[in-house]
Amino acid sequence: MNHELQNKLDLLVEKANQIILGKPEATKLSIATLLANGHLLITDKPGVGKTTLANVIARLFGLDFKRVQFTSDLLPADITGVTIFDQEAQQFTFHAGPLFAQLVLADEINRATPKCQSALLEGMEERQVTVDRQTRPLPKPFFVIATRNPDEQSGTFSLPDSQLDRFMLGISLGYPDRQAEREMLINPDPRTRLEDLQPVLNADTLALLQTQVQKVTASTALLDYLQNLLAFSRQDNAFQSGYSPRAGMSLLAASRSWALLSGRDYVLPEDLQAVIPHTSHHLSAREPGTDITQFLLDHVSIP
Amino acid sequence: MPSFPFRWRRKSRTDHPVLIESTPGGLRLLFISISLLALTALPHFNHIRLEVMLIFLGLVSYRGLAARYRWLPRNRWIVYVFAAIGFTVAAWFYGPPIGRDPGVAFLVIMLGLKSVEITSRRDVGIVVLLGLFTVMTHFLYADGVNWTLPLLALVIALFWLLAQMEHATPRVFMISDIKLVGKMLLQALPVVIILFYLFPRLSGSLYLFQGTTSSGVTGLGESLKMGTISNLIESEDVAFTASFFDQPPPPASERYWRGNNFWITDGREWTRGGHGTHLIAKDRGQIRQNRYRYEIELEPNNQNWLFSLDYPLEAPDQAWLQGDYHLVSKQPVKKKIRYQLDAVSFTGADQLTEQEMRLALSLGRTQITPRLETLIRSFTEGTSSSVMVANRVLQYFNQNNFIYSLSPPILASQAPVDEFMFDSQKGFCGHYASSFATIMRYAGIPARVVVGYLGGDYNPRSNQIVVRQSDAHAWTEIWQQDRGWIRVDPTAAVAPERIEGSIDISSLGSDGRVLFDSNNLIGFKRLYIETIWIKDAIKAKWNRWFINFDSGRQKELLKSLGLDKFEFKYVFMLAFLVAISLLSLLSAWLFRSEREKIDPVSKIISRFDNKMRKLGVARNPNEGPRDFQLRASKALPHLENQLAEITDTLVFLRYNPEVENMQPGNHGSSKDSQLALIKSKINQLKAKQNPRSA
Repeated sequence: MNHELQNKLDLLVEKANQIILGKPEATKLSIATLLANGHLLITDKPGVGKTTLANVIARLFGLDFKRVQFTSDLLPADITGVTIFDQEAQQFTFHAGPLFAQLVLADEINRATPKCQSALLEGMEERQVTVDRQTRPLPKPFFVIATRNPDEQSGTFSLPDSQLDRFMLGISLGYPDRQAEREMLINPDPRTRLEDLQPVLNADTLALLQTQVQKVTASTALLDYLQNLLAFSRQDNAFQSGYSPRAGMSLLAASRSWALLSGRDYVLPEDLQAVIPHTSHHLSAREPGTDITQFLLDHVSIP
Repeated sequence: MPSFPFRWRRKSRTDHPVLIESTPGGLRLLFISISLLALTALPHFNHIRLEVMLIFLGLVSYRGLAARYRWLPRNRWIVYVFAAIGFTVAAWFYGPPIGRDPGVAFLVIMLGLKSVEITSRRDVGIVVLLGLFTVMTHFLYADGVNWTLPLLALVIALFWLLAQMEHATPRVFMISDIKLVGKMLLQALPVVIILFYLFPRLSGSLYLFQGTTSSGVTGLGESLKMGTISNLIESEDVAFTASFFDQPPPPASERYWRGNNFWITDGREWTRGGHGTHLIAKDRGQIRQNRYRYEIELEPNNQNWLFSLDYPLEAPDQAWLQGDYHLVSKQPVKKKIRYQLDAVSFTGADQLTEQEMRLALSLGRTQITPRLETLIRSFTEGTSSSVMVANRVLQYFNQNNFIYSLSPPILASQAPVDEFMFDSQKGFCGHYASSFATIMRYAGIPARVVVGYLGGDYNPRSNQIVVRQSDAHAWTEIWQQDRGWIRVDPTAAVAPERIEGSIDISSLGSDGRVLFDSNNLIGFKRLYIETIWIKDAIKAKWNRWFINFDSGRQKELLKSLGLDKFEFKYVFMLAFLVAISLLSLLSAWLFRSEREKIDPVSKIISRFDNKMRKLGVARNPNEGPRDFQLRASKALPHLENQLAEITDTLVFLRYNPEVENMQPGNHGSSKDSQLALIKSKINQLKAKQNPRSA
């Protein structure tokens, strides 16, 4: 990888951290997800900066950005678009919905009905949308950053496991630390700073970086480790269900991306260990409330 | 089996194992483990001091509480303190741990201490091993089938616990676990069979290696005192089993099993006496009629005599036959023994020596009260026939409201016979037999009391008679010049049913009167009897196949296999030792080969790990190379550069793509040369020099 690209990556991370204060790991994970061509799920309480994070990333990546606020009365057509009869042209024309953007922020996804959620999730997996029996491809690249409130909050529809599987990583931001919060209090409006933010990447450089991610080497030893982790999650009693094969693939992709962001062109066990704590939505523990990913990491040794 | 890198199976490379209760499901696993441990030790409750047991339970509970209340200390020092307390208490009661009971007491204390030491999931494996060992110690006390089955259940439970260690989280019911446990049991079976049948036998079953008293082993006593047999009758324990081969057994009224003859009395107690009666048995071999051949399997009773059906013809190997048909055992019966005997129903008019005559008429210090004397006079009046006198006495018993009872009043006076005959008139065989014999002697008729068993349950399932302690009986024999000894059972005059049927403990009347089995068994009663028969048949088979497989039977088996030609015992021992050493070599090789299969880079990594462990920084199994480098550099700052260099190379060799393309001999940076270089660097790693010596 040449220096120019590496510099861009560094700049990307640096600029994101200038706005998202005190959350370097969360921003790095978000960037890694997008570089690995995956979708991101942010689970947290309202007001901790989920939307800001999505905004920052959209801007830095230079992506065409749309935001959908999910509500309980949202209809699938509201996000995919509708076909309307055009009087002048005497034909049906398609009016694309907000899903037809390079980066879609699906805000508070668990407030929408399951029907609406699945419209979004179909788009995420197929990267195409079927409206009125006509299948339309979504733009390239296509990312979804979905945010959700923790499920115990009232008025939400929890996402089924099979749909959660489509998010590569799931992060949560948490409250800022004291110093970061002080900075926020002094300089309260992040939106103004957001508007000053210049894109670091464009569609071409992003595509280039994505190919670089795919070229990151995962050695035999590392694949052994990954497969041990996958097998353990499927066979051990602590797990109701383990990683799916799709989850395994996205795990590797995310750790490749993490390795690249760490300035390496090969994956280390540490990279896997960095992303695994953010994949608990791919797993389900038999005993709720246990730190299932930590348990997994504790019990599988590195070959 | 899945080839997972589970931590408990490998030698742990970690300094700080994860606390078992912090893992998911670990709490449950811990509680199951310590409960099972407690369960395996609990049957020892019967044999060891309550204080020791309480300490054990306290230690186990302490471990359980420590899981909930983490502040409870579980370090080395607290274990030392507990050990000091536990061993002091055990030593206080038992002295040094030599012998069965002290050994078990110390073992139980150590089990408790081990439970306190359970830290990681790995330790559950130790619990399983200890549990299996503890199960084995129970056979030091008993080896019956009803005892073995619960222990087998415990073994299965321990195997199940072992299977749980395959998973990080225990689950009660899983098909795969059941399969695994079944597999383990099946795999053990051939080994068990080989060891059981071919491992050189010591004579005697395991629970006789006790050296301590055989307290609690029931049987007839050395003497007959009014009141002693009552305790016996209430026990359903089997005294012995008699097998009659193809012959039908004698009728119930003829089943008098002679144990001991009591010649000497002091008015209350009848004893054998320390002398006399060593007569040689007469040759009665020609008697053919009513001859029974049978085999007795005698439960241990720690007595010096054997039981025989009246009248034994010849002594078995284990005993001498005395003139009064008493079988003196050559050794106290401390283990189950078997012997074969012939019985004939005829004595052959034995004659008495002078000494015997004197003994058979002596009343010692027995008090004969005036009213008793008058009564006896009335029996002897106008007749010289012993049988006639005896019949009169029996008639007297029969017609004078005498009651057969298992709970007669205590006879406290100086003349118990008098008190029994005139005041209480309530008693069981012992009362009747001793009173009758006393009356006979006073009337000038030689008489003796015989104790043994009467009847027994015929089990048609196994063609055996099972004689229980509740069949204990006492009767008398009187001597007549022309006929020799004649059996007279005075109890028959009071309760003839006692002779035909056995006493049914469950049907004791409220006043202690005994109701007897009726012959028409119907419904549940029938079912109950059938169950007992089947139970006894199972027990008999168990004893025949397993418990009695002693050194003698083993020799027979070896002979049939043609293995008796040489000293098989030593050959087997040798073969066993060779097999054990071969197995350990094999397992060592298997583990080694697993290591060998790993590529040279893995080898060098484990070399590095070993070296670092020696330097005091052990890599956790799940710790990545860079994380480890950071941690190690912090712990050993003086090695920072070397550690970085080594880690760089190791990471390069293991995870970097370029290493695949590296050609051997490519300007000195080949994989091999890199490996050699790194090896020397690892060897050079040293703990920090002592600054003073530097």
